[in-house]
Amino acid sequence: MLRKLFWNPAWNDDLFMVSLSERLTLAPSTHSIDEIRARITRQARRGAPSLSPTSQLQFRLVFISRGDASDASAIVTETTYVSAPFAAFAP
Amino acid sequence: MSFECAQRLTEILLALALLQSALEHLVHSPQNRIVFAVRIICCALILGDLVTPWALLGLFLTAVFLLHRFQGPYNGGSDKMGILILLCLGLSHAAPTPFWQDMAFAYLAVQLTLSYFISGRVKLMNAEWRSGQALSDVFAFSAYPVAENLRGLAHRTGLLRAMSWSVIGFEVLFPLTLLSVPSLYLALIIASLFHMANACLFGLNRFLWIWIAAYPSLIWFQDRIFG
Repeated sequence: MLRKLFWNPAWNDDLFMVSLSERLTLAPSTHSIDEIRARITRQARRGAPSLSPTSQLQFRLVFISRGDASDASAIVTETTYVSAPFAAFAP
Repeated sequence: MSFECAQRLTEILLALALLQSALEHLVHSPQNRIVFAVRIICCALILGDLVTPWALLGLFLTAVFLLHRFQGPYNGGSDKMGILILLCLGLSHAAPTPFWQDMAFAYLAVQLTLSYFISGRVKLMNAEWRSGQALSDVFAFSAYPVAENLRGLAHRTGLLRAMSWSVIGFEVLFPLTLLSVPSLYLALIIASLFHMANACLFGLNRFLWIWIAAYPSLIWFQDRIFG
Protein backbone atom coordinates (compact mmCIF):
# COMPACT_ATOMS: atom_id res chain seq x y z
CA MET A 1 0.00 0.00 0.00
CA LEU A 2 2.86 2.37 0.87
CA ARG A 3 4.46 1.68 -2.50
CA LYS A 4 1.26 2.75 -4.24
CA LEU A 5 1.58 6.20 -2.73
CA PHE A 6 4.58 6.64 -4.99
CA TRP A 7 3.85 4.29 -7.88
CA ASN A 8 0.35 3.50 -9.13
CA PRO A 9 0.30 3.96 -12.93
CA ALA A 10 -2.14 1.15 -13.82
CA TRP A 11 -4.70 2.38 -11.29
CA ASN A 12 -4.38 5.96 -12.50
CA ASP A 13 -5.01 4.76 -16.03
CA ASP A 14 -8.12 2.91 -14.80
CA LEU A 15 -9.30 6.15 -13.19
CA PHE A 16 -8.83 7.86 -16.56
CA MET A 17 -11.09 5.14 -18.02
CA VAL A 18 -13.74 6.16 -15.47
CA SER A 19 -13.39 9.78 -16.62
CA LEU A 20 -13.65 8.70 -20.25
CA SER A 21 -16.78 6.68 -19.49
CA GLU A 22 -18.41 9.69 -17.81
CA ARG A 23 -17.42 11.92 -20.73
CA LEU A 24 -18.80 9.38 -23.20
CA THR A 25 -22.13 9.38 -21.39
CA LEU A 26 -22.36 13.17 -21.06
CA ALA A 27 -20.93 14.19 -24.42
CA PRO A 28 -19.97 11.33 -26.74
CA SER A 29 -16.80 11.87 -28.75
CA THR A 30 -14.58 9.73 -30.93
CA HIS A 31 -11.67 10.62 -28.65
CA SER A 32 -13.31 8.95 -25.64
CA ILE A 33 -14.28 5.89 -27.68
CA ASP A 34 -10.80 5.52 -29.17
CA GLU A 35 -9.09 5.91 -25.79
CA ILE A 36 -11.36 3.30 -24.15
CA ARG A 37 -10.90 0.94 -27.10
CA ALA A 38 -7.12 1.28 -26.94
CA ARG A 39 -7.07 0.41 -23.23
CA ILE A 40 -9.50 -2.53 -23.57
CA THR A 41 -7.48 -3.89 -26.49
CA ARG A 42 -4.25 -3.61 -24.52
CA GLN A 43 -5.75 -5.34 -21.47
CA ALA A 44 -7.50 -8.02 -23.54
CA ARG A 45 -4.28 -8.94 -25.32
CA ARG A 46 -2.48 -9.21 -22.01
CA GLY A 47 -5.26 -11.24 -20.37
CA ALA A 48 -6.17 -13.43 -23.32
CA PRO A 49 -3.11 -14.33 -25.40
CA SER A 50 -5.29 -16.65 -27.51
CA LEU A 51 -6.97 -13.68 -29.21
CA SER A 52 -6.67 -14.12 -32.95
CA PRO A 53 -6.31 -11.42 -35.62
CA THR A 54 -10.00 -11.92 -36.45
CA SER A 55 -11.19 -11.55 -32.83
CA GLN A 56 -13.70 -8.79 -32.17
CA LEU A 57 -14.20 -6.86 -28.94
CA GLN A 58 -17.10 -4.79 -27.69
CA PHE A 59 -17.74 -2.74 -24.54
CA ARG A 60 -20.71 -1.26 -22.78
CA LEU A 61 -21.05 1.33 -20.05
CA VAL A 62 -23.29 0.45 -17.11
CA PHE A 63 -24.06 3.09 -14.50
CA ILE A 64 -25.54 2.30 -11.11
CA SER A 65 -27.57 4.83 -9.16
CA ARG A 66 -30.10 5.01 -6.35
CA GLY A 67 -33.82 5.08 -7.12
CA ASP A 68 -35.96 8.20 -6.75
CA ALA A 69 -36.80 9.85 -3.45
CA SER A 70 -39.79 7.56 -2.84
CA ASP A 71 -37.57 4.49 -2.73
CA ALA A 72 -33.96 5.49 -2.12
CA SER A 73 -32.99 1.92 -1.31
CA ALA A 74 -33.75 0.75 -4.87
CA ILE A 75 -30.72 0.41 -7.09
CA VAL A 76 -31.14 1.38 -10.72
CA THR A 77 -28.81 -0.11 -13.32
CA GLU A 78 -28.69 1.67 -16.64
CA THR A 79 -26.69 0.83 -19.76
CA THR A 80 -25.78 4.17 -21.27
CA TYR A 81 -23.59 3.10 -24.14
CA VAL A 82 -22.88 -0.02 -26.20
CA SER A 83 -19.98 0.20 -28.59
CA ALA A 84 -19.83 -1.21 -32.07
CA PRO A 85 -17.65 -4.34 -32.35
CA PHE A 86 -14.03 -3.56 -33.10
CA ALA A 87 -11.00 -5.61 -34.05
CA ALA A 88 -8.77 -6.84 -31.24
CA PHE A 89 -5.86 -6.21 -33.57
CA ALA A 90 -5.86 -2.92 -35.41
CA PRO A 91 -5.52 -3.40 -39.18
CA MET B 1 8.31 31.80 6.14
CA SER B 2 9.84 34.28 3.69
CA PHE B 3 8.50 34.67 0.17
CA GLU B 4 11.72 33.33 -1.37
CA CYS B 5 11.72 30.27 0.91
CA ALA B 6 8.04 29.48 0.23
CA GLN B 7 8.48 29.98 -3.50
CA ARG B 8 11.53 27.71 -3.65
CA LEU B 9 9.91 25.05 -1.46
CA THR B 10 6.83 25.07 -3.70
CA GLU B 11 9.05 24.67 -6.76
CA ILE B 12 10.83 21.66 -5.25
CA LEU B 13 7.61 19.95 -4.08
CA LEU B 14 5.91 20.65 -7.41
CA ALA B 15 8.87 19.29 -9.36
CA LEU B 16 8.83 16.09 -7.27
CA ALA B 17 5.06 15.66 -7.71
CA LEU B 18 5.22 16.21 -11.48
CA LEU B 19 8.29 13.98 -11.75
CA GLN B 20 6.33 11.18 -10.08
CA SER B 21 3.40 11.49 -12.50
CA ALA B 22 5.63 11.86 -15.58
CA LEU B 23 7.59 8.72 -14.65
CA GLU B 24 4.32 6.80 -14.23
CA HIS B 25 3.26 7.82 -17.74
CA LEU B 26 6.66 7.23 -19.28
CA VAL B 27 6.98 3.68 -17.94
CA HIS B 28 3.34 2.60 -18.21
CA SER B 29 2.23 3.96 -21.58
CA PRO B 30 3.96 3.97 -24.97
CA GLN B 31 2.15 7.17 -25.95
CA ASN B 32 3.56 10.69 -25.68
CA ARG B 33 6.89 9.54 -24.31
CA ILE B 34 8.74 12.56 -25.72
CA VAL B 35 6.40 14.96 -23.92
CA PHE B 36 6.83 13.20 -20.59
CA ALA B 37 10.59 12.99 -21.11
CA VAL B 38 10.60 16.78 -21.61
CA ARG B 39 8.61 17.18 -18.40
CA ILE B 40 11.10 15.02 -16.51
CA ILE B 41 13.96 17.20 -17.78
CA CYS B 42 12.08 20.35 -16.71
CA CYS B 43 11.52 18.87 -13.23
CA ALA B 44 15.23 18.03 -12.96
CA LEU B 45 16.15 21.59 -13.94
CA ILE B 46 13.84 22.97 -11.25
CA LEU B 47 15.26 20.63 -8.61
CA GLY B 48 18.75 21.78 -9.59
CA ASP B 49 17.58 25.41 -9.61
CA LEU B 50 18.78 25.82 -13.19
CA VAL B 51 16.80 28.19 -15.45
CA THR B 52 13.80 27.58 -13.18
CA PRO B 53 11.43 30.13 -14.80
CA TRP B 54 12.01 28.57 -18.23
CA ALA B 55 11.55 25.06 -16.82
CA LEU B 56 8.25 26.20 -15.28
CA LEU B 57 7.23 27.55 -18.68
CA GLY B 58 8.15 24.21 -20.25
CA LEU B 59 6.00 22.35 -17.74
CA PHE B 60 3.12 24.74 -18.31
CA LEU B 61 3.24 24.42 -22.12
CA THR B 62 3.46 20.63 -21.99
CA ALA B 63 0.55 20.62 -19.49
CA VAL B 64 -1.54 22.58 -22.01
CA PHE B 65 -0.51 20.11 -24.72
CA LEU B 66 -1.56 17.18 -22.51
CA LEU B 67 -4.92 18.83 -21.79
CA HIS B 68 -5.45 18.86 -25.55
CA ARG B 69 -4.08 15.34 -25.98
CA PHE B 70 -6.40 13.83 -23.35
CA GLN B 71 -9.25 16.26 -24.18
CA GLY B 72 -9.25 17.38 -20.55
CA PRO B 73 -7.33 16.49 -17.40
CA TYR B 74 -5.94 12.96 -17.29
CA ASN B 75 -6.04 12.76 -13.51
CA GLY B 76 -8.89 15.16 -12.72
CA GLY B 77 -8.31 17.62 -9.91
CA SER B 78 -4.65 16.77 -9.41
CA ASP B 79 -3.82 17.89 -12.95
CA LYS B 80 -5.83 21.09 -12.42
CA MET B 81 -4.02 21.84 -9.18
CA GLY B 82 -0.68 21.20 -10.91
CA ILE B 83 -1.51 23.73 -13.61
CA LEU B 84 -2.69 26.25 -11.02
CA ILE B 85 0.59 25.96 -9.07
CA LEU B 86 2.61 26.24 -12.29
CA LEU B 87 0.69 29.34 -13.30
CA CYS B 88 1.08 31.04 -9.92
CA LEU B 89 4.77 30.17 -9.65
CA GLY B 90 5.39 31.35 -13.20
CA LEU B 91 3.59 34.64 -12.57
CA SER B 92 5.46 35.12 -9.30
CA HIS B 93 8.72 34.92 -11.29
CA ALA B 94 7.50 37.11 -14.13
CA ALA B 95 5.83 39.78 -11.98
CA PRO B 96 7.51 43.19 -12.36
CA THR B 97 7.26 44.25 -8.70
CA PRO B 98 7.26 42.52 -5.30
CA PHE B 99 3.62 43.52 -4.87
CA TRP B 100 2.54 41.53 -7.93
CA GLN B 101 4.82 38.65 -6.93
CA ASP B 102 2.93 38.53 -3.64
CA MET B 103 -0.41 38.71 -5.42
CA ALA B 104 0.42 35.78 -7.70
CA PHE B 105 1.52 33.62 -4.80
CA ALA B 106 -1.35 34.74 -2.57
CA TYR B 107 -3.77 33.69 -5.32
CA LEU B 108 -2.46 30.14 -4.97
CA ALA B 109 -2.95 30.24 -1.19
CA VAL B 110 -6.52 31.51 -1.55
CA GLN B 111 -7.37 28.88 -4.16
CA LEU B 112 -5.93 26.17 -1.92
CA THR B 113 -8.09 27.37 0.97
CA LEU B 114 -11.15 27.46 -1.29
CA SER B 115 -10.42 23.95 -2.56
CA TYR B 116 -11.18 22.66 0.93
CA PHE B 117 -13.92 25.13 1.89
CA ILE B 118 -16.02 24.81 -1.28
CA SER B 119 -15.67 21.05 -1.26
CA GLY B 120 -16.94 20.99 2.34
CA ARG B 121 -19.78 23.40 1.59
CA VAL B 122 -21.01 21.26 -1.31
CA LYS B 123 -21.02 18.20 0.96
CA LEU B 124 -22.77 20.11 3.74
CA MET B 125 -25.60 21.09 1.37
CA ASN B 126 -26.01 17.48 0.23
CA ALA B 127 -28.38 15.33 2.33
CA GLU B 128 -26.68 12.12 1.20
CA TRP B 129 -23.35 13.36 2.51
CA ARG B 130 -24.88 14.45 5.81
CA SER B 131 -26.41 11.00 6.34
CA GLY B 132 -23.27 9.12 5.29
CA GLN B 133 -25.12 7.58 2.33
CA ALA B 134 -22.84 9.20 -0.26
CA LEU B 135 -19.71 7.68 1.27
CA SER B 136 -21.49 4.34 1.64
CA ASP B 137 -22.33 4.40 -2.08
CA VAL B 138 -18.74 5.24 -2.96
CA PHE B 139 -17.57 2.10 -1.16
CA ALA B 140 -20.45 -0.06 -2.40
CA PHE B 141 -20.76 0.84 -6.07
CA SER B 142 -18.07 3.18 -7.37
CA ALA B 143 -14.96 2.17 -9.28
CA TYR B 144 -12.73 3.87 -6.72
CA PRO B 145 -12.10 1.38 -3.85
CA VAL B 146 -8.69 -0.15 -4.52
CA ALA B 147 -9.67 -3.57 -3.11
CA GLU B 148 -12.90 -5.57 -3.10
CA ASN B 149 -12.70 -6.19 0.66
CA LEU B 150 -13.03 -2.41 1.19
CA ARG B 151 -16.60 -2.65 -0.14
CA GLY B 152 -17.60 -4.15 3.20
CA LEU B 153 -17.15 -0.67 4.70
CA ALA B 154 -20.34 0.34 2.86
CA HIS B 155 -22.37 -1.38 5.62
CA ARG B 156 -20.62 0.41 8.51
CA THR B 157 -23.21 3.19 8.54
CA GLY B 158 -22.24 4.70 11.90
CA LEU B 159 -18.57 4.84 10.97
CA LEU B 160 -19.34 6.33 7.57
CA ARG B 161 -21.62 9.00 9.04
CA ALA B 162 -18.86 9.95 11.48
CA MET B 163 -16.32 10.00 8.65
CA SER B 164 -18.62 12.16 6.53
CA TRP B 165 -19.14 14.72 9.27
CA SER B 166 -15.43 14.72 10.11
CA VAL B 167 -14.58 15.54 6.50
CA ILE B 168 -17.37 18.13 6.21
CA GLY B 169 -16.41 19.81 9.48
CA PHE B 170 -12.73 19.91 8.66
CA GLU B 171 -13.23 21.28 5.15
CA VAL B 172 -15.77 23.93 6.09
CA LEU B 173 -13.72 25.17 9.06
CA PHE B 174 -10.42 25.06 7.19
CA PRO B 175 -10.25 28.86 6.48
CA LEU B 176 -10.47 29.57 10.22
CA THR B 177 -7.24 27.69 10.82
CA LEU B 178 -5.42 30.59 9.15
CA LEU B 179 -5.98 32.63 12.31
CA SER B 180 -2.93 31.17 14.07
CA VAL B 181 0.27 29.34 13.15
CA PRO B 182 -0.33 26.23 15.34
CA SER B 183 -3.88 25.76 14.04
CA LEU B 184 -2.68 26.08 10.44
CA TYR B 185 0.12 23.54 10.92
CA LEU B 186 -2.33 21.17 12.61
CA ALA B 187 -4.81 21.62 9.76
CA LEU B 188 -2.14 20.92 7.14
CA ILE B 189 -1.12 17.73 8.97
CA ILE B 190 -4.76 16.59 9.12
CA ALA B 191 -5.26 17.52 5.45
CA SER B 192 -2.17 15.51 4.49
CA LEU B 193 -3.53 12.50 6.39
CA PHE B 194 -6.88 12.99 4.62
CA HIS B 195 -5.16 12.92 1.21
CA MET B 196 -3.11 9.92 2.33
CA ALA B 197 -6.30 8.07 3.29
CA ASN B 198 -7.75 8.87 -0.14
CA ALA B 199 -4.57 7.54 -1.72
CA CYS B 200 -4.74 4.30 0.28
CA LEU B 201 -8.50 3.70 -0.03
CA PHE B 202 -9.16 5.05 -3.53
CA GLY B 203 -5.74 5.06 -5.19
CA LEU B 204 -5.66 8.85 -5.57
CA ASN B 205 -1.91 9.08 -4.96
CA ARG B 206 -1.23 12.07 -7.22
CA PHE B 207 -3.63 14.28 -5.24
CA LEU B 208 -1.53 13.78 -2.11
CA TRP B 209 1.71 15.05 -3.62
CA ILE B 210 0.29 17.91 -5.65
CA TRP B 211 -1.80 19.32 -2.78
CA ILE B 212 1.18 19.18 -0.42
CA ALA B 213 3.15 21.14 -3.03
CA ALA B 214 0.80 24.09 -2.51
CA TYR B 215 1.09 24.14 1.30
CA PRO B 216 4.16 26.45 1.52
CA SER B 217 2.13 29.20 -0.18
CA LEU B 218 -0.44 28.97 2.60
CA ILE B 219 2.16 29.03 5.37
CA TRP B 220 3.69 32.16 3.78
CA PHE B 221 0.24 33.71 3.25
CA GLN B 222 -0.75 33.18 6.86
CA ASP B 223 2.43 34.88 8.03
CA ARG B 224 1.94 37.74 5.55
CA ILE B 225 -1.66 38.44 6.60
CA PHE B 226 -1.79 37.51 10.28
CA GLY B 227 1.87 37.33 11.30
